[in-house]
Amino acid sequence: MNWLTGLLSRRRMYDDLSEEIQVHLHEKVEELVAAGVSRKEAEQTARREFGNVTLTESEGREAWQWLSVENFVSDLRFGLRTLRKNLAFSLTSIMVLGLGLCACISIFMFVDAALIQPLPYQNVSRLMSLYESVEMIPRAHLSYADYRDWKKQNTVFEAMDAWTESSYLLRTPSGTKPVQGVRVTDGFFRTLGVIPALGRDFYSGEDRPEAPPSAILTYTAWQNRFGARPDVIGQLVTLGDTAYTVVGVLPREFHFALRGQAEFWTTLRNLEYCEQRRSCHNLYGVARLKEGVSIETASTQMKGIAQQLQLQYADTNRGQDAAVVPLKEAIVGNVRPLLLVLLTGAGLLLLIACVNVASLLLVRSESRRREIAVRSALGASRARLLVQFVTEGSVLVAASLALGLFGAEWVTRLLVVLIPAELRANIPFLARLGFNLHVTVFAGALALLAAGLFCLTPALSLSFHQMREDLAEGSRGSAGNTWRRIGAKLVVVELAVAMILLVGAGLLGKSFYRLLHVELGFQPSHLAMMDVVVPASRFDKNEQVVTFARTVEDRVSHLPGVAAVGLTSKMVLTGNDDTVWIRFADRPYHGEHNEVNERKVSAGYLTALQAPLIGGRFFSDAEDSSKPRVVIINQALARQYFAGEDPIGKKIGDIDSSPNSMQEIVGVVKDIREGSLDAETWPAIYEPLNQQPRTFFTLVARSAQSEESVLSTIEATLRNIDPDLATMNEGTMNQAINESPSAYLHRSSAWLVGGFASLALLLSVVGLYGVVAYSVSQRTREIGVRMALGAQRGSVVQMVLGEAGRLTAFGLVIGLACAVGVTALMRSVLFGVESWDLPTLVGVAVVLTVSALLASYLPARRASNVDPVVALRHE
Amino acid sequence: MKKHGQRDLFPGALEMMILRTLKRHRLQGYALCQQIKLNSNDLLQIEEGSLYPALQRLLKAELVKAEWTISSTHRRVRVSRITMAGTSHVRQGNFQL
Repeated sequence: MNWLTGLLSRRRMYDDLSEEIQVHLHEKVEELVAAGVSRKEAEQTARREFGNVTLTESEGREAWQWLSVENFVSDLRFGLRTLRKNLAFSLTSIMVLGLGLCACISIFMFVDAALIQPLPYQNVSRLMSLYESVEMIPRAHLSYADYRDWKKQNTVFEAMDAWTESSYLLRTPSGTKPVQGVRVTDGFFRTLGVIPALGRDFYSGEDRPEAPPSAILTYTAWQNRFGARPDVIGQLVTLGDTAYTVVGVLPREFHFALRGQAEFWTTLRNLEYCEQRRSCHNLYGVARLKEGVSIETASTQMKGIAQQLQLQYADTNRGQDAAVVPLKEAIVGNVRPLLLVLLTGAGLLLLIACVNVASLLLVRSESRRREIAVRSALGASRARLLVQFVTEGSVLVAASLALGLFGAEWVTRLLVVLIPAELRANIPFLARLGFNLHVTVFAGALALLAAGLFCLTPALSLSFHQMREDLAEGSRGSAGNTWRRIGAKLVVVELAVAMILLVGAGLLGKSFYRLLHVELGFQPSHLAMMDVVVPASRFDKNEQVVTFARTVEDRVSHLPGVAAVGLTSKMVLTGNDDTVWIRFADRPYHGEHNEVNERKVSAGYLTALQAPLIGGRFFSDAEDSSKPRVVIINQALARQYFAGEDPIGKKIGDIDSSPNSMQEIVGVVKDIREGSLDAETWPAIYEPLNQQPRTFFTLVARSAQSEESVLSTIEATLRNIDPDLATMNEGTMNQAINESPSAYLHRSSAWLVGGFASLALLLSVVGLYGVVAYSVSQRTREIGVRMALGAQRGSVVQMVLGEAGRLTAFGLVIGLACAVGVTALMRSVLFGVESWDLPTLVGVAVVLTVSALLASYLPARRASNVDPVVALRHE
Repeated sequence: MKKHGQRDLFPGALEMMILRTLKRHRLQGYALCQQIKLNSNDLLQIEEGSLYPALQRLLKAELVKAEWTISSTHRRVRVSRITMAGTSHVRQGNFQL
């Protein structure tokens, strides 16, 4: 019989069976009556000898059923019905668990996109990023000459290439715009294993001076600037003063996070001034390990080569070591600790959510004891009841999972939108954010774990031996004990986990606060700024550039609302680089590299920043190349190199100590934060821009009114001076601080972990409330007896609060111990605060204790209001 | 309390008893029950009802056929008879269904 007709004829089979049984009973009754038994007695005898008719029918039907499936369906129906009947319980559980799952899945999606999914290059594990390494900068630029030697002498890499950042002015229909690019050696894309989607790769030798200038576009540049036209190959594009032939377009999925906004890729065919000197470092290396060569082997060999070069070129290469870092590490290494902290936080939140729902299920299973006992008495086997629990638990988890997945989709979208646009370009993995196999497996695994927990909890709490006793009305004694015992332990777990999360959030919050209140060395409010680029071809002589800069400063300073204006070669807070090696005129020199930040600034710059002068004087605008060379140093430099001396009047120069490089120190300024907010302040020198003029600088203007309002007028004024000039990165200093990567990372982690911690606090306090309230309701009679025997209301409150206090204390102590351990792991994401920060620990303990006492005060008061007479009658 | 699976001596014994009985006569449920009680030294003492699930399993396995007829007492009864497959089943002494 095939299963379909079986299914259709099944109803008839069942009817036949029922009728057959009725016939049986009837015949038996007739027979007994014929034998002289009274009809009533005969009917009773027949039934007794036949056994349970309903059970027989159901067993008979089972012969025809696809048993497991049909039981499942009926369990499912029953499960849904019980969940619906207990709507408050179900919704709470689903919400709580869904929230936990949502947090975990969302964070995991980021983890997956950043750390698990491969980068869009071939055999990424063999790709290395190469750096020269000096004491102050472990991953510093590489000089072109060193790169050539490394490439020639190494035997560990299959291929080695170099790249450096570049920017160009591009004429567009909407005016001259600065665009970002990368200059690479010819084999760069072959080393990465990237093949252009259109056109060709750079051929070998295309980075030689004699090769014609050529460029490869990124996919987005091709889409946005060339309308995705396939005939773009062979076209000329003018970048700065050079016309490049477009030879290829990179694939859509290609990205190079270390220079995320680059649109034009050109070759290093025309070496810049810096690249012609071994002492000037402006490149990064990328290399592919030979098959079977370990990173350690490669690193050892590269360090050996660097050592050799130190001996060979003592003046330029002193202290220049080599660093080999996996490319993946170079790209995502800085977000890994943060993401892992967040994932841990989300995991802990999920743990609390699970514990909370588990204790809700426990309460419910207590109140369902009688139902279970009845079902068991009616013939449900132990396995059958277990399956029922499993089904109910699964329904709960499935609903939560749906909620969690749906939530995660929205949460991740929201989080991406909240990332500042500039930062987003350097986090290319965001494009890969989304549901995929990894996320599905992860979510599935979480759901299975949760389902396992929820199926086991009620099943374990039910002792099957007690069932028959449970049938008896008013079985009290032990009924609440299981839950009180397990529930109390669960609450301790919840409180401890909440403590960990709160401490983590506290530390991250404090880090963020410290970061935003770090000593800047200047006044950040009311500062507008923008980068300005003028085509260098416009000027024949340096004097003309100086005149141009003076015009810019003069015109802008006369704008209404502008109080002060200054120009600098590199804006504050953008990074500790653009460094120079200095030596001191009156001291013996042994070739040591005294590395300091070098900034060329206009006379008005330090005043515009309101950087406090410690000693000496600021520059005057008249100090140009016709005057003696002067320099202002920061306190860090004075501290490091002039301890116990007055630096004013001393002379410093470059390491070649050419006579015209000697500069007299005329002033000492308070440390200005040149690097990121969380980076150390390095020694720095400020030189007059007029003595080393530039066509690319940053303009800062201090405004009397709101700084945003002057931005557009400044921009218009600049264009008025020269229509071919381009401005970019227009913004305010406060924006720059708030949106800086370090501020963003600290802020987002503080907010996210703070959010997790608040939810954890809420859930654990609600959990505590649940335990205490339930315990009070179970002990109503006991409390009534106590009060009847003369217990004071106060002592009842004390008793209940004492119980809650004990649980809280346990939770706090365990949580504190764990928190100190866990937060030690997040040291790398903290700033200006120790992982065992006492005020944070104490503060969190106080918050948790107060919340816990509040939560237990309500049930305690209810307990003290018990009327002994009512309580005793109630039983 | 009766427990699931507590059918008789060993799995399939009751079914075998039914088949053996039906090999000799076509019988309706109650008569079959009486017959088995008679033949089995009260093996079926426990509950008469247990006969029916066993009978359903035999029907499902197509070792037995059943049809409704009118009995000598003019009642509608369901008579079971053994099939060819059932006969060979008994001959081979297969207990498990």
